Amino acid sequence: MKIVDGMVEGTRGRGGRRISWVKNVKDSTGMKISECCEILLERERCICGTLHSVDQFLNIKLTDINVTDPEKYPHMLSVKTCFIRGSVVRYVQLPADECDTQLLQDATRKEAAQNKQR
Amino acid sequence: MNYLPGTASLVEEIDKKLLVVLRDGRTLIGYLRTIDQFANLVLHRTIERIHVGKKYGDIPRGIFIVRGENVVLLGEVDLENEDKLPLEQVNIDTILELQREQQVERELEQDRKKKAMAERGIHVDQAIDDF
Repeated sequence: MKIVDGMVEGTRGRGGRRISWVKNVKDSTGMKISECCEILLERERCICGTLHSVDQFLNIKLTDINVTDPEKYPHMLSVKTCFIRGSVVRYVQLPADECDTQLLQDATRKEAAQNKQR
Repeated sequence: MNYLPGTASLVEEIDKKLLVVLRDGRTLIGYLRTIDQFANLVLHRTIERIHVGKKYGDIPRGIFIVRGENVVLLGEVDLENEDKLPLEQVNIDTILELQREQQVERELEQDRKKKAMAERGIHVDQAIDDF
């Protein structure tokens, strides 16, 4: 696709209009932006599970997974543990009642103080 | 530490039957043969599974080398419960037809939405086209 290939060949002609990024997206996908957004939202999925491991790229391994909307993602029914690539993770939500914010705050402050000393 | 974190943990999944979801929404099921640190995968005896509602169809595809960046998630298929799913398998042509119908329906839905928005004075694409 044009967008990922980097530079576009040649130069813009004299007085030629600048082409917006949005135009590029539309040309290469052949869709309108609202349609692209729609597809993006459709692809979004939520998975709950127990955290098994995580690494520096936010690659996540979950066990005992539950999909919030099994009707929408029927293929997840046969999967019990899964690996999620960090690059596709939008956010991780922790259960509020199991998260000791006070303790976390203290820990971060302590670490910040230690880094200052060095 | 008796487990490997991150992509290294995929070593444990080698030679198992895995379900891989790609960024474009496709679902592949196959035996994982090789991995690397980017989660590039080699899948053997792969099928592509298409789901529409409670029905699904399988298309045999063969060997895949999947570039890691396209992987959304991968999970081990629970072989014991694989046949007990509340889903119905149909043949390829049927599922492709169903998929097409779903696509058409979606487009109609989008048009309806757009119309409703336009009636209330919101033109999504025009607003973005302005610059």
